[in-house]
Amino acid sequence: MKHWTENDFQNWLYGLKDEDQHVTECADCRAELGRLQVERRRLTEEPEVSADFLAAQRRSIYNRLEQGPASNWAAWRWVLSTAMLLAIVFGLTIPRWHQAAPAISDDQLFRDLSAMEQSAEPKAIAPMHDLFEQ
Amino acid sequence: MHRAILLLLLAAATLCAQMPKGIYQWWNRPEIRRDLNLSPQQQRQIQATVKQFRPHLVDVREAVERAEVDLQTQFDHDPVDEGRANQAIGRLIEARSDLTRTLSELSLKLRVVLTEKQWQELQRRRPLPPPPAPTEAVPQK
Repeated sequence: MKHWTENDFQNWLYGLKDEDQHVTECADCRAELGRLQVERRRLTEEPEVSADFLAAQRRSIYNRLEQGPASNWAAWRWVLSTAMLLAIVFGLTIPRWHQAAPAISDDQLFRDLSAMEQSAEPKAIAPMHDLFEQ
Repeated sequence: MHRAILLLLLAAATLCAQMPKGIYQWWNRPEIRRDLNLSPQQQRQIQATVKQFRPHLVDVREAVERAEVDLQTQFDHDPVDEGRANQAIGRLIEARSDLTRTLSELSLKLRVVLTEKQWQELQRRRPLPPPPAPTEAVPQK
């Protein structure tokens, strides 16, 4: 009987193939199955975490909770980043709005300036002056 | 009779030839460009100067308009808040002062571009100041 292929070993590893007569009799295939089993166990088992490591982590968390403002730093970082982003967006869009505003023609501009230049009195006080002229 | 008609026609022609009071775009009038004999370089300099001043002129115009509206609002308010009204007067004076300064600076820049002869020709086109009003004689006691 032929040796198991790599595909056969993978199917067996994922529970898609049962051990057959060949694999029980063939020393090579049996050895490969053993090696794969050991490897899978090594990869799937949870890592050992020492009690000291966990205690240090707990202390670190408690310290952060006690410090308060430091624990908010992450939130503040987001707020600042968003504010800066908004400032940049507004900075880029407001000048465009300003440019998009209907521009006054040169003719109208100089007509207005000329009228302003020549009118000596504010419009608000014109009614008072009209009284004296009558 | 004929003399009177002739005088009237002469006066009408003079009025038509006069340029508007205050600042106006004389540099864009073909007849003035021709009479002043502005060179292409002078025309470019004038256009560049006007273009340079334009944004400030727009701002100044808006500032004066805004100050006028503010003052009108204070005059229309009942009761009148004299403090605020005086502040509005101050702002209007400031805006008008800025207007005068900007227009004078623009005029100076344009004057520098012109030759003496061109300047005289431009002045010749300005409307004459109105004659002084006759003063009433104060009755002697």
